[in-house]
Amino acid sequence: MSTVSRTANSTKMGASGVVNSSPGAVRIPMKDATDYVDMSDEVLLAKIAEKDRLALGALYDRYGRRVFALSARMLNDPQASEEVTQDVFMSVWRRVTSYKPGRGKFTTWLFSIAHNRTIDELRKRMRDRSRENQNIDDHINIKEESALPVEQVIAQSEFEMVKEAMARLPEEQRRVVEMSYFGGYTQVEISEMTGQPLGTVKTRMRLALRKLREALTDRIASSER
Amino acid sequence: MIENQDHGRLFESLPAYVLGALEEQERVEIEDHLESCPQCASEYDDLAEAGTILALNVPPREPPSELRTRLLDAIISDEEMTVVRDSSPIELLPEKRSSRRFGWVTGFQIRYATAAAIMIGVFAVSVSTLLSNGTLDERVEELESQASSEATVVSSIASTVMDVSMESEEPSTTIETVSRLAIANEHLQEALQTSVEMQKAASQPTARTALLRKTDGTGNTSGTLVAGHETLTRGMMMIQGLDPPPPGYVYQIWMNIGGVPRNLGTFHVNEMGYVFVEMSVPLFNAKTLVGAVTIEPGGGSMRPTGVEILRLSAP
Repeated sequence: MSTVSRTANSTKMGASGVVNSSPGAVRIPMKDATDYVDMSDEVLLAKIAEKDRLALGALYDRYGRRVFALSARMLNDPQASEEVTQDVFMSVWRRVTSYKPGRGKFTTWLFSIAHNRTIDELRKRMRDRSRENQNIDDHINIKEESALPVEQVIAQSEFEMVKEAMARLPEEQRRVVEMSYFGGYTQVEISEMTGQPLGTVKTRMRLALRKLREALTDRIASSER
Repeated sequence: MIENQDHGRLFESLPAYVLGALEEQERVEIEDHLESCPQCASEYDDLAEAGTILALNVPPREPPSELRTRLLDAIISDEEMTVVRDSSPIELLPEKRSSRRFGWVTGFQIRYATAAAIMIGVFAVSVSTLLSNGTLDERVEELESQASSEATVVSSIASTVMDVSMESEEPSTTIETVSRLAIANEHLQEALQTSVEMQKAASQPTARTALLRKTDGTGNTSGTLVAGHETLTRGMMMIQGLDPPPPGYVYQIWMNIGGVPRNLGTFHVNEMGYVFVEMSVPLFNAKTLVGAVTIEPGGGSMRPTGVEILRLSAP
């Protein structure tokens, strides 16, 4: 299954046409940058391993919006999300050789770095303020409101697909996923806050992940028929 | 060796690992286990794909255009900070040549070694003044005074070499040696500037200082890390006397936070065995301050895997 990983001939979402839209583009001549737009993730990673900055710029153009959006959704702080996004791509730059293609797609590795980095930032912030009196539902609702309204977002099939899969999860499973993945709470904390046994929380997490994966696999299979 | 019981527990925690719902210690435990357990690795691969799907459950959002510029600038700075010249390291005491033919070369060797010693001296002064009780002005004044006299010595060495070069039978060798002195002088200036900056940083009310020392207490290799001077997580580090890592390897510095090694970054060494870097560091105090510098494969490692070269600790 492929979600956003690009192959050499792919024209899926993520191929940004705005390579030179930023002031930083002065460092990257248009001709060279456009050459990189059509390269697969794998080729870009190989070039990054050779310390090719153009390749990292192209990778950022492809996935920067995703990483920034994930971090902004979790932190509700655009400035901190910018720092996280920069750190994530710096990590890719420095640690590209530690990515093992045989262990999964590049996007899995990238979003794992992005999520872990954001979780670290989120927990640091949580430690800085007392969480004892915080209402979990309020916390999650605030985050929901802070996300961009769906109406304002250009229709993007992958996002819609995932959104639909999430909506189909049973409420208790969706809640566990929201609290952990987007809220930054540990499974032990979720168990304590919801009053559910730890084993139940673990089971719900596993079921939710399996259902999400199956839903997306089914959806992609049907779209290819 | 992971027992079956631990395997079962870690297997059960894989979904939480994918969702980021584990404490740091358990997260590291699972990462270690994944390296050696095909069953858990396979399960993780399946679940991780679903984790990616969750990341897509957020509408893409355009970051400020300046972020791209900052990222690429940061990479350039990163490279400049860690650049290692491709040429072979300069020999402080090169292999013996015919002193009969190039009598002045021996003198150069001594002078060049003197320049290196001066840098070590500057560093030593820097560290000692860093830990002294004087005011900032007094510390900086002491350092600048020391630096000024030593810079004069290096300058005079260069001048002497230039004079000798006028009579030299080997102009190319002379150019090489003058070039070496110029590089030495450049590094000396950098050392002085960094030392002064570190003095100023260490004097800030929020700053904390840590030392890097050889674990066996031998040799001249040592360093200083100052953090918290600008923001709580901003740090500067200076090391002297460090040999270049083996080809294909880099140095990497770690700080032990809650029993878990936290990567602070990789760095290289300049021709004179010096390191000057700025970095992000986690919050620390004298009680929690434990860390190390290790040798790791190029690009760095997720966790320490190589030989411990220096240990980071409170002064």
